[in-house]
Amino acid sequence: MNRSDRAWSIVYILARVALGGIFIVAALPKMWRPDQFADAINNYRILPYFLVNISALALPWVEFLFGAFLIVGFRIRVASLATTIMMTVFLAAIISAWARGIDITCGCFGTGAGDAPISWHEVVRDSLFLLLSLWVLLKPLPRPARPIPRIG
Amino acid sequence: MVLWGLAAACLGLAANLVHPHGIPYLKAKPPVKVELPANVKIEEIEVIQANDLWDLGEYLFVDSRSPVQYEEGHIAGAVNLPWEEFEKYYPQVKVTLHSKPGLVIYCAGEDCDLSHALARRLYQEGFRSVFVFFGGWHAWDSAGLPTETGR
Repeated sequence: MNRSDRAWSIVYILARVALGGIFIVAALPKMWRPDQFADAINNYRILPYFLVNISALALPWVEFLFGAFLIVGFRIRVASLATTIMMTVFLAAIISAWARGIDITCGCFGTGAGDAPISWHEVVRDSLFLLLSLWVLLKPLPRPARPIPRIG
Repeated sequence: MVLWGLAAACLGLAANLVHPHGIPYLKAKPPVKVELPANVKIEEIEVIQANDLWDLGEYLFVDSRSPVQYEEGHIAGAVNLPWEEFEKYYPQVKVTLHSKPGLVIYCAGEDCDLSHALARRLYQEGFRSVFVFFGGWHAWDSAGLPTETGR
């Protein structure tokens, strides 16, 4: 592994840990207040009423799990595929709310209490997170420095 | 991935059983909106009129948003009657609603329909002096008028 490869692999680890950290920081307040998160989901007016509370209870735990996987470096492909799918869904929801002009808070990092209403800020921010997640997902894993000698 | 995701989801659902801020697994079905006869028109008021009515003290302000939003902040003295959980909350606040000669109903702001839905339903329940404060919470809060938090 030459110096440039080593530098990239450090950047990759930093990106992976940052992505994992974002998911954990976003998950914790929602795990603590599912009632407020359910309200935030309901405000988007996307899910039917009977899926709102179940999503509010399950989703933060899924975010937390895959965020933790990314930080500790366990099942990185699986975890980054999951975060990419989640970021795509979140971004779609935000753009949809923004396009419909409904005046709601994001609820992304917790409950949305006291936050400013959704604007292009959230769209740009989540697009960057999605790119980060895609990069972690698609970057080739580091190869062994030398070909493994064939035996026999 | 699916299995890991499902495991985490199940953990989240199970944790709700002992969670201090637990919620029912199934949200209550929102009530059906009622239509009023064509000749009945519920009057909409703006923030200046709403403030006048608030100063008079003769009108009860009714917050039609969710309990969570109400707790985060509401017009001072308003009672919470969440439209989406009308059947659950109405019996609890019915007596209070009758304690004042008129009602001013509001929700988040101009783009929410909860206040209109609630106003029509309350009209049907027999309340005749009902106003919808169109600008709602956002207009009131931005104008720096009196607010409260908590239940």
